[in-house]
Amino acid sequence: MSRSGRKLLHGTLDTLILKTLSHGPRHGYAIGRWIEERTGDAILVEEGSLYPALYRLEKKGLLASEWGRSELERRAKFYRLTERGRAALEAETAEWLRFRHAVDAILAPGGRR
Amino acid sequence: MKRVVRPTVEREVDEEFDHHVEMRVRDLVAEGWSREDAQREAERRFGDIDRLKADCRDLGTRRNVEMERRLWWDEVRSDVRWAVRQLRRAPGFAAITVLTLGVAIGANTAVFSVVNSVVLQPLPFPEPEQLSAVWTRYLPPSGFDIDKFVLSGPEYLDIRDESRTVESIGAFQTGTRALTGEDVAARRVRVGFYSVEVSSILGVVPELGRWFTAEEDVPDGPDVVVLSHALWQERFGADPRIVGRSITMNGVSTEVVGVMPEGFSFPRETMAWLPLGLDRTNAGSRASHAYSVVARIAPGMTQADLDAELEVFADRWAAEYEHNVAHFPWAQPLHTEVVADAPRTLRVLGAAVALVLLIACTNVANLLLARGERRHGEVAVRRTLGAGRARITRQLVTESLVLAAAAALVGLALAAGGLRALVAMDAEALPRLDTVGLDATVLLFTGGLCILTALLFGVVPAYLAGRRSSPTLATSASRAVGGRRSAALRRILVTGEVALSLVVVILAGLVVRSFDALTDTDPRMDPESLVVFSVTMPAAEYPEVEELPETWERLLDRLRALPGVARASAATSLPFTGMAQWDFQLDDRPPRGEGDVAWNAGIGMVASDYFETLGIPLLEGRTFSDGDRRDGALVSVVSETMATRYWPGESALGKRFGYRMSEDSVAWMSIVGVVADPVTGRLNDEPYPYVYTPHAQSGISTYYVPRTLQIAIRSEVGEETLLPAIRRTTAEFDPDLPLYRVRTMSDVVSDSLAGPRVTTNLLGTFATIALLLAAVGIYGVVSYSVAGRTREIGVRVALGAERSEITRLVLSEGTRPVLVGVVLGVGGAWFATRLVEALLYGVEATDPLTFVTLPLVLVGVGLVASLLPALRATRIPPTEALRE
Repeated sequence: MSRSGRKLLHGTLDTLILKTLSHGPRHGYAIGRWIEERTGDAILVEEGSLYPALYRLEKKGLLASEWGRSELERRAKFYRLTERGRAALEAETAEWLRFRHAVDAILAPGGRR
Repeated sequence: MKRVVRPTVEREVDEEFDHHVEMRVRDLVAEGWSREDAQREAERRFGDIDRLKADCRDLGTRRNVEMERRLWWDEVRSDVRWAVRQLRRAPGFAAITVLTLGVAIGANTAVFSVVNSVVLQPLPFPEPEQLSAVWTRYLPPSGFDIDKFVLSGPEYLDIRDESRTVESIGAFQTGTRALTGEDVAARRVRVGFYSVEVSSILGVVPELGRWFTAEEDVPDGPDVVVLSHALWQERFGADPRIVGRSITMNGVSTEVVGVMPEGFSFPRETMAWLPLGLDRTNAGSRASHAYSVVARIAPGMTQADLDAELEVFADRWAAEYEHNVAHFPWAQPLHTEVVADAPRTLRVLGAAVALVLLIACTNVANLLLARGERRHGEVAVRRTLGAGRARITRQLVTESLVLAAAAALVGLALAAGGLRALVAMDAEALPRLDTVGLDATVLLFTGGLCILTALLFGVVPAYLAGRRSSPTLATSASRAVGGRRSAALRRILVTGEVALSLVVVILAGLVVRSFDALTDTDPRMDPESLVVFSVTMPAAEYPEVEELPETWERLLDRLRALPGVARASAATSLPFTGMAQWDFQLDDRPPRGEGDVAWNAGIGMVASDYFETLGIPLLEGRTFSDGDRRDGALVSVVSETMATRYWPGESALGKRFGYRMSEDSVAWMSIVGVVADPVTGRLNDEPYPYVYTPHAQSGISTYYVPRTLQIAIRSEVGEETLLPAIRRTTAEFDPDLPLYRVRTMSDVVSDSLAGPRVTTNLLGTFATIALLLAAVGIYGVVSYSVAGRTREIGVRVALGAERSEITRLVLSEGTRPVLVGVVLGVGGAWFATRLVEALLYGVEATDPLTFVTLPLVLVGVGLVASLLPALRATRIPPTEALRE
């Protein structure tokens, strides 16, 4: 896949971060890695997008952070989903599915006409 | 919630990014990268790392602010929840508090709404501060000072033509016109005769058609009319093609040229406007004051400029025209004019409700104080568990705010209901009262009041609770009933509230006494069993002026013949309905104009049997008789004040006075009788000289024959049966002769008292509330102190104290702060009476009866309120008390 193709649709990263954290608290590096691994490196999570997204989500109250010990045995910042974050994830997921069906209907081979 | 200690945003971002780089390096090394390459690669991936850090720090800072705020709101929410829970656990306390404060906030909200719509709202005209009414102050050497006299035609025209400070100035008169035709009953409506300028001065344009033009506003101009929205709706079914139609007014076909927008009615209740048609040719004498004047001050000029200019006019007129000596024009902002005396009344009401609110706050503070002591234990537990003093104080303040908010809602409901009742009862009591309502300004006021209240009654107990609680559970577990300090504080609060309520009660007492004096004032006539109404005989249908008096008598005779009618008569103005004032000459003194003396009196032209019908007492001589005819000797009956002012120390009978009919002729009348002074406006008005002439001689002894008379009918038959009979009889006489302003004389008298009555009722209500609150407050404090001393009292009884001794002990304890409060209250009231002084009539501001009785009432209230707990104290069985 071309490098440009691995860029994310605007706003999608936020949803992916929320989804990642729905499985439990993680630090920033782990969040990026998890997304990349789950998509078979189809999606590249750049540090330049990841961290602003995390801070923004925390500011919105969708994430909360705590400091704890990482696998490197040193202080690291762990993010977790808040109640509001969980609600936002559900709404975003539903929205995404609707959007995907709509686009599929036009672009996917054999899709509805 | 446990707070995590965070690093600063600065360090947070650095550390987080460092950690990321380290993790990446670890993973890359595991993939076989060299350490140096891995480090470079990890850093490269960050791109412009400094910029990214700056962005994240910025977001982080904003995040922290946001989190602080969210945390704060969370605490507020939980405080509110906690407060509501606490209050639900003490429903009695909550209900009493909310009700007490609700009543006080409601009273304040209601009075403020009135202030808001009556005083604060600007007039509904563009740039209302530039509008001014113009009057002359009339200072005749006969000793009167009438500050609002209308202008004469020439005076108005002088100002109109020469003033530099007014942009435009208009004159108007009011009158009535009969509307006939349209296949509906004839109706007489109030109309305004306006000079063309008035519409542009007020900045109001017709919603349909146009205002009349300067060409139409000339003497004997075309018959055109502008209708009010209300009249257009009611009588002409909102006919969209009304403009250009002709309607019949006083029998004259008149073209409708426009309809004014809804709500415009100036002066009040005016239903249609006709051109005044005033110019130099028909302006009349300088001495004949007949026109109300309203002006719009030119841009850049002020009321002060207009005042200064009017003084110049006054000086010039005084120099040029001798009889102008006593008239001094002056201007008053139109807003002040409309608002009139209302601020004086509202200041008193405002002060009273503010005091009521303070009293209510005192009561609630007392309740909270007692509650705070009972909750001493709870607070101590919370403190032991680590709640900071600030947090506890905040929770208690939140509780106060929740109470105040609930009270504000109750208050708003009470105010809304109260205002509706007030307007329904007496919309005329204050100007613009009909526009009163709860608007945004009022809601803002109540909101502010709610917060202020919470601070007032909540802060003291909260402060004490936060301060006292030493976190030792042992002491709080015992039945702590107030320390010495809070007991002292409670007594101070009782003293204060007694003093405050006494001030309110005394103010109200004075106003009530004044109102009693007012209603006890002799109306100098008999207003019972009198129905009054107006009738106008238009020139179109009754062209022969000389025949009018006889026509009136024919109508009156028919009415007198109705079953149940005892007497009937008519006059140009009846008591309580205002008066016309004319200057006159005196036969036995140098003519006016030479000796610079102006004589003036009210004038009433009256039909036969007038004094007998109205029940006006004859003091000397005789009333009019059938012998006083057009061709007979000219006669007059005068009022007592007229007689004693102009002929002090001698009888007025046989003396002569008269109106100047032309340059060199005066129609002299002989005084044949003296009657009691009529009340011309309000019962408490200083009597003004008044003269009566027989209607039969109207136009000979007076300037004209009136076409409008007010008819008075005395009958024992109720007005329900009487009025239809009257209407039928009048319709038989002339179907196009509508009755208007139909009322009973008792209503007329009662309406003249509307303003003082509303003030008195409101102030009385507020005083009652204040007294009740004080009683509840005293009762609460004494009961509480008795409850706290159960043990002590038990010991005393066990040691052989008499019951009476116990009662005396509790009573003296309870009444001491009351007595101190009463003394302070009398002192306070002494100063506060300055507020009501201007409202008082027939009673001194330092009325001894009020100042002795009401303090005693308050002491009595204090005694009764302490008596119940005192009696309860005597019934405490010593054994039970000692067991505690």
